[in-house]
Amino acid sequence: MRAGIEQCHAAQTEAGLALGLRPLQIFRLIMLVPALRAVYPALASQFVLLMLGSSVVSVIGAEDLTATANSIQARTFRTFETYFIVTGLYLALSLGFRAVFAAVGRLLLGIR
Amino acid sequence: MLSAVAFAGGGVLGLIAAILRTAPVAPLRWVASAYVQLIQGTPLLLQLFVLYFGANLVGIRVDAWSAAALGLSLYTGAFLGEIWRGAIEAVPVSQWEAARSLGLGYGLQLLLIVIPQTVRFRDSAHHRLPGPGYQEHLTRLDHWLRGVDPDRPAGQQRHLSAIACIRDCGDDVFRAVLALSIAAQRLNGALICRSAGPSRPGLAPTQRFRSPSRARPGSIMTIVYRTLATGTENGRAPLVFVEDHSRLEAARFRSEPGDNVEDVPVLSAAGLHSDRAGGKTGAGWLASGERWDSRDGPVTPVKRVRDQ
Repeated sequence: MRAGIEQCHAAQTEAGLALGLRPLQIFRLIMLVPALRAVYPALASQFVLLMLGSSVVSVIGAEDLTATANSIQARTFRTFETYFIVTGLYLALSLGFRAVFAAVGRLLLGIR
Repeated sequence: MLSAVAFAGGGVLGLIAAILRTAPVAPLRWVASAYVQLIQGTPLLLQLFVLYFGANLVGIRVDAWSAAALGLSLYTGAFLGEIWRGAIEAVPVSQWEAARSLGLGYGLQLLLIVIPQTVRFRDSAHHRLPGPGYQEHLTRLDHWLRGVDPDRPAGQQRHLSAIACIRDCGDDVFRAVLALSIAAQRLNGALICRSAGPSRPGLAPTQRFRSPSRARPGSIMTIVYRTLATGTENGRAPLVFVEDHSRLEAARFRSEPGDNVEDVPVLSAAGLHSDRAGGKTGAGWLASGERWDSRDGPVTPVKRVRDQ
């Protein structure tokens, strides 16, 4: 977010000041949308990476998809099938999230 | 060793993936795109599980180390391939056309003209976006969570892993989570310091990193509980506690006049619980490598010194 906000030209904020806008209005009306447009793909991919990284919390015992896979394979001893299916689920989740983010970007921010 | 192999393998795979992603032949692009989407779309932990159990199911005998090396190489290769693909695509088309007009084929165009110019974009990508240092960081973080100390050979892994230390925390879940998060943050910072190199003059104080010899990934969590020598008067043995397992022998603690800390054994505190009197019970490792048990006598941390 900071990188996106820094990409805004100083000329834009000065034009806003010249128009008599308050700093909060300048941020909301002038800086926010171009910053979001600039960082939106990176932000979306970070979110997907975070969702994938959440599989690691199974190591400290938190209940999540990977922990469920662990318990299933511990009960049924079908290690490969369980993990393969759960990997497929994560893949579907990440593709789904990416599609949702792309749609939101197109609708709200006009990112193609 | 594992991270070195993963880094090298990932570099090779990433280069191949980047070249295939920008190939003029469409099926090659699809293959590389499918590889990157698959690896980037699934968690690393599950990729390792699938590789290890799947290979053994099909009949190929792989040991854990080989499966981990292969999995980490694939993972690193996918991310590096995307970064380098961006760098290849950032080279202007005029360079390709100039190389074509010299009569070079596609391979030579790529090798002689385009890839040397990607260094410009790769460097900027490495500084602003996650680059190879970040990938190495991720593999080292996974490495650390699995409890393998990369500086020691495989037969001399005598420290408790972070996972075992969290299991030892028992009911103290909050402490376990806190220890893990702090340790991960410190490891993160240490690895960033390490990948950034030695400190350079002229930077702001917040940017001036410590020298790499201090910012070692193992020297995380050197919060030290110290007991003064007077602890023996209460019938409790004096011990110096270090939260970090990997650097017991390099624990730095502040000594004050009147403390004879030279002959005080250093104990890792991560496997201990607090009892009602404020002492410590449990078991852990001494710096000399011996096992210490609190049934030898409870200890009282009198003073806590935070290092770094």
